[in-house]
Amino acid sequence: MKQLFKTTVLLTLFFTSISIVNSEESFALKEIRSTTANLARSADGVVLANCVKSEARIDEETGLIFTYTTFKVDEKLKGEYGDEIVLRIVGGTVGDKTISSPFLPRFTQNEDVILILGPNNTRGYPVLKSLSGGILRVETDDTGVKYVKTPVDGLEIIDSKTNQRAAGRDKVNLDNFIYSLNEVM
Amino acid sequence: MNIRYLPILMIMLSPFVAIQNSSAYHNLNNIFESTFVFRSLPGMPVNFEVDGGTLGGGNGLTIVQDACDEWDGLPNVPNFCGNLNQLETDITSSNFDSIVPQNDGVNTIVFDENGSILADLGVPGVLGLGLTTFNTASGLITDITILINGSIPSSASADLLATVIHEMGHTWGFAHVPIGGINTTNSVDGFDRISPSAIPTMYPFAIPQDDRFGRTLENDDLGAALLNYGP
Repeated sequence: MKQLFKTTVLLTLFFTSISIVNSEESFALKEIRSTTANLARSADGVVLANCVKSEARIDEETGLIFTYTTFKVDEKLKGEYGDEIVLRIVGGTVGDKTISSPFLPRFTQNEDVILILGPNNTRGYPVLKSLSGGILRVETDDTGVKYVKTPVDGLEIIDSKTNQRAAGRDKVNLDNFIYSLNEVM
Repeated sequence: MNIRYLPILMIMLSPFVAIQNSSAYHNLNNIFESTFVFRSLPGMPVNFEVDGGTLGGGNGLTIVQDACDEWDGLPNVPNFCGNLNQLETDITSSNFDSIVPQNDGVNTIVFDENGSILADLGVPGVLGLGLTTFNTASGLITDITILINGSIPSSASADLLATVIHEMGHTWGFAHVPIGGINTTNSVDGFDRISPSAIPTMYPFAIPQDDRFGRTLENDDLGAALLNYGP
């Protein structure tokens, strides 16, 4: 009976762990996981941006569908960019045809994000440094304070006002996040 | 309640916890619609045109064949792989557009030796990408392109064979599996950590302990295959 109890507890915890991990934003392909701090250190650019629009278009030459998402750059934390950047990522739906990239980030109009970027590709578009960690979603709480919704990995959060260590992995205050990120870049 | 009945209660509840996650492991993530629709292969086995270039400096065709053997070794499931026809041409970023048109019904495996094709597609730095084109109305897959990043040396940190097997799984219609995430995405105390060797191949990250564990399909991968293509 004791063994059965132990097994059952482990089984239940196992399913619960699946539930928790599964509730994270869906991302895919296969890649090597990296922390927010490491991505930012090695990035060519980091920007705080606001999504203007997102649309899928078909490339006549290849037949591939790409989703183009336009962002207004609100703050350049690293790298040189204009007032606007466009991400072009394979995948999307046009008419009755869908190209399913296992990962296609979805952006909503007027959404604030921090994008961690690599060098421009040969087509001239900036690319995300990482598909799973290169996008940090920013939201506003009930009091009007902006925070980073995406869990932050491997970055010590420092309070931008007191310069003291602040708690944070989930819902990190945006000012504190930017201040801390600047410290490691 | 008498604690003796607790294990029985937990056994009764555990399937309900599992059911909500069942779609996670047997199909492509539904990223375009809010409702779940399985994207199915129109027929099996699947024939592939294989890049004539190298993969990680070596013979990519051998790796692809080994990947096919792993999928085709699953019990009670028809063979996934058919003919592997190696092209004479080395597919690069400069000829990718003309050689790999999507939706021509020719399924292609591309060895992206310097990672530039993946960067052009907007997905740089990934180990691999499995693209499926499907008819939105019928749900049938009409074209497959698998791209493998040869610029990341195959090692225990990121294994090429494990990556090819993983991307093939996507093109059969299988989604990612979160099982094993507790090992790699966080370190929450109190959760039981499964053995890295038991992490399914459809797990979305290189297995940090040793990605070569991804060379063998696990029970969860078999479950996805049986559920969608089994008897």
